[in-house]
Amino acid sequence: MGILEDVYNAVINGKVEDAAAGVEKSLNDGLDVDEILKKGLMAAMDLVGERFGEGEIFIPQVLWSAKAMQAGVALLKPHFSESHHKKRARIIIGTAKGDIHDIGKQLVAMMLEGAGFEVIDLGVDVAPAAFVETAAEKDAAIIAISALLTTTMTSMADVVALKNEKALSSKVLIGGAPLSLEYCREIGADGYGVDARSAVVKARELVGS
Amino acid sequence: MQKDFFEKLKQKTIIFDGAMGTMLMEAGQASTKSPILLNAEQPDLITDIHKRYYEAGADVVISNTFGGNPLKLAADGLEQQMELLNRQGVMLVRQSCPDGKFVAGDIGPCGKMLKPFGEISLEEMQQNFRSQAMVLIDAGVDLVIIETMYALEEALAAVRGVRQAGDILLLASMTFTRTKNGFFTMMGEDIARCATSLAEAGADMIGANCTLNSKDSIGLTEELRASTRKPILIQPNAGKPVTRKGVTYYEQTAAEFARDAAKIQAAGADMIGGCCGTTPEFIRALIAEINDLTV
Repeated sequence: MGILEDVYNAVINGKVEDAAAGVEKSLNDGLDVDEILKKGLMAAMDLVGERFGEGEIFIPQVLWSAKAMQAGVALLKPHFSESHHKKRARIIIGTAKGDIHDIGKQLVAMMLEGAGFEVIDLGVDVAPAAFVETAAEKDAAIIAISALLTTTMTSMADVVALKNEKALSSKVLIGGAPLSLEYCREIGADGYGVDARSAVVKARELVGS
Repeated sequence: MQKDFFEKLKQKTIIFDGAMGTMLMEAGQASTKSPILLNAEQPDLITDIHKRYYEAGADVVISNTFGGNPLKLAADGLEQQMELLNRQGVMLVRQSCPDGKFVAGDIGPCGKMLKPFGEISLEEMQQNFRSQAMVLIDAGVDLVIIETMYALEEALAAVRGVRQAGDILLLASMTFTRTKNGFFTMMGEDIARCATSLAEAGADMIGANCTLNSKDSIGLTEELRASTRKPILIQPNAGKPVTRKGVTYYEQTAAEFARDAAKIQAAGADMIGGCCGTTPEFIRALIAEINDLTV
């Protein structure tokens, strides 16, 4: 475990340079790329997500951990095999039309990346057509939409409708303060994440991993 | 004016108004852009809400300038209207304000994250808060309220920005969530740390608003009371928003909220108002409940 444990701890503690150094050393030592990713980086982000969900740690710690994780992933990327690239499910993420709130969405995007998804972030105030067109073009498994306002969450229903109209197989995952499982069912979305942690759990469920 | 406000504080619990944003939604004015635009586009609607809160018995009404930070306005391409929208927002409260009552100029978060996670520096943040505060003060507010701050660093930048802008009575209110280990901001700062730092930076009064319902706010009040000698303001939400068939409403009733407000008063709040989901009815009910207890 040795060096992988160092990577794991570096991510937990949000030490960006230590995480990068650990991944570098793991690669030099000839460790399996997949193992570094899963046992070092992803396992650590799982625990970070759990602690965040439990209210034991807060946004700054999560963001530093995510940064450490990203630094590690960046070093691994050139070593990913062709099959590895294909295996990673793609998620299109953005904040609902008319909504400019960025922080919650960013957090979820980082956690999803930490969980091994390939994340394409469309930013804030994203039109339903942009979600659906990008998902089609990139063959995304999931469209993830965030909203902080009760006034903007209604555009999520438009994304679901448009996606169905285009007969797209992508699943729709929604989250944000004013939302509920009830609303998710009402608009026919596929999943609802009550917080960043449960968004990751739901995303995994939706792609069956 | 500062003296008048503190005099009043000695005599009674000062009552702030309830929500603006959720009242606008109820009125069918769920603008997808910033609600601050309504100050120019539908001033009568805003004035009407302000008047209803004063009539319900509020001593202080807060201007519809929550989204008036230049950085936040810029996200909607409205930065050119910063001065107009903030000035107009203050004017609409002033027009509705009876003698002996107060006008508070509202300052909300700027919507940007600080470096290293975001792009913005502390200095830039502070300057933007200063710009908004200068307009609010010049437009004639009796006090400035910085509210719904979920990051202490940003709240401190706002307090310093307002202090640079001019001599004005200043209240700074944070948003706390309840975890199993107690009350914290989204960034992990606890109540005592927030209260102490905000006072040191120059806030005259400290508050807590949004996210928590009236019941959870009782415990929060006890902790905040124990953390500061400054006057404190508590503005809970009317519970959580629930959506059914596309219609959003809040869980708590006015009566429930009012009963808790009496406990919040007993726990040491000097000022009480309402945040998301509260209406003039809530303010009326809470005043009746508090008066029952003090008579």
